[in-house]
Amino acid sequence: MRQISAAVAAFGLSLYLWRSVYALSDWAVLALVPLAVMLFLGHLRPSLELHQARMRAAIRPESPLLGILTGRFRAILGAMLFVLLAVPLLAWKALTVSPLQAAMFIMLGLVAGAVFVGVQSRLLRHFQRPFLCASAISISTWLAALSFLPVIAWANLNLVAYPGAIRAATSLSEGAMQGMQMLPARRGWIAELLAPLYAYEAAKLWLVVQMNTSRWLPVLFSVDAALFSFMMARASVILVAFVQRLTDRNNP
Amino acid sequence: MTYTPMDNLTQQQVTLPPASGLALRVFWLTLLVLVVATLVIALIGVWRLPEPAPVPHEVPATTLERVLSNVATKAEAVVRPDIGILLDKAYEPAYAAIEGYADFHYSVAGEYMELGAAAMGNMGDALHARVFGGLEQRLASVAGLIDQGYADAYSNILNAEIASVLPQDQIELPLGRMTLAVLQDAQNRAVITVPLASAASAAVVASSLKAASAAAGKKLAAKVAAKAAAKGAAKGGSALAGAGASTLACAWAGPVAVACGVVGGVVTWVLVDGAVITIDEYFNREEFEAELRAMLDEDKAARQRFLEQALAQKAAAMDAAVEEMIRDFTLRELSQGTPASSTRP
Repeated sequence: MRQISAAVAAFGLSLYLWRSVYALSDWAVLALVPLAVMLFLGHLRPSLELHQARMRAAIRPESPLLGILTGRFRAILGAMLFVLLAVPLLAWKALTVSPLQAAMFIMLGLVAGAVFVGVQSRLLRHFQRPFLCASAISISTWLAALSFLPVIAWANLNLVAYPGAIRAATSLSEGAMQGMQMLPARRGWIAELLAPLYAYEAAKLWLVVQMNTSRWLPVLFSVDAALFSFMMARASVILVAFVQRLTDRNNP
Repeated sequence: MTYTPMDNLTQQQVTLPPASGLALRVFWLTLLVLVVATLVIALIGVWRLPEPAPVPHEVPATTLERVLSNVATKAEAVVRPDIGILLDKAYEPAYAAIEGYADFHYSVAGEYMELGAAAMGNMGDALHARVFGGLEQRLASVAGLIDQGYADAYSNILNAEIASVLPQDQIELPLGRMTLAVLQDAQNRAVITVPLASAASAAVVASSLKAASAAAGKKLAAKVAAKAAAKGAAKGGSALAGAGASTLACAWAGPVAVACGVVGGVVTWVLVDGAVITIDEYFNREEFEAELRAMLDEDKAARQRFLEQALAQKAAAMDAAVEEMIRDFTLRELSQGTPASSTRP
């Protein structure tokens, strides 16, 4: 439980600091650095283990290829791609969530971490060591995200209020521009990076508002918005795995 | 966590550096820094609040709706006179270019270039390049200036109207979060609602100016052709007479007398052409320039009508959107088609 709490605290505090300081300065990005490093290392270790095990199973021990195809490059690339995708998405979401949504995501992080620990202990008797952590990460991400998906989608549909101005936008581009108005007036490179995400979300909302004859489209939009729970669950599980590795003396 | 002997890929087979105590210490230190930074920010937030904190004033939704319902129209009334002034400035270089174009039109070289352009069917291009050159960009910037002026006027009027509805004893109080959000939304919408800059973009303006200069070019081509035909007979006779006289005068030159006669004919043709153009300019230049001015007047008036209509549409769209702007909504309300009534989280 201590590991889960520490991981979720590091996760939540990084994003909270980012959200608090970004309104004032682009230096807020420093708050995301520890999160990015932890996600990178947390993703790298299980991935490296998995790829190395695969290579050892596939290549004969006497082959010189074993020294070249170590799986290291693929693992590093995968971890970098994950960080490049996850950190901007998490940063954007941290700026836009309401307190209610934030509470739900924190809960999701705790549950995902607990599910990971539980799944890992169950898999211990069934999986070979290098496959254990990667499988546990994957299974617990799906379990936690799928169990929270309906709850977050329901909250998106019934409780989250959207600005009325989007209903008055007369075109898709006007809707997208309204989304970008939520960025700080000083702009800067971070705002340019986040602008497409704001514009995309606002444009989607505008389309839903325009097609208000469909009863299912708002439901679909809510479910789509709730898909973020997969990213959240994955990041939480990876952080818990990272902290577990650091703190567990029996798990070098 | 412990691992059973059933692991057939042992630790030696996986070449990972073991987690060190240093990494663990760095993690706890990072967490500590994050906690301290969060506490510092929270404390700064608390210390920066004045004592006692004033209670923000929320303007009731019905009052906001009443105030916002006529701000767009008032802003339109403020900005509308600027359209004519800005257009006058944008068209100024075009009017100034008319004299230069008339000089070109009433020159021997200009006449032959125009005849060539008329024969090729692109008479309007020369007119467009010499009179309308740069007008597209100037008109596009006019639309941008009107948009900016509208947004500024909207903001000023909105602030004045809000100040007028606040009770005297609360005028110094900060506005509430909801009120500020609605006012910010309204001001943002003044910028992005049906912007004139997109309706009067350089591409749109360029195509309409091309059409205008092509129509004027057609008229001009017909005139140039008719003028050339009328002058042709007279010039042909004079040139023949000039060539004959030159041949006679050069008879002493023997074999080159014919060439001397041709040169004399060409010189006579150009001299007669120049004389005819001078006479034409004396009688018709003012009328020609007046026609070009009328063409520009017509184009400017059409542009002004277009921009005024676009501004009126923008204001109408803003006024129509007031109710929707004020009330936030949930997706459930959308799916049920019920009017929005919730507030932002």
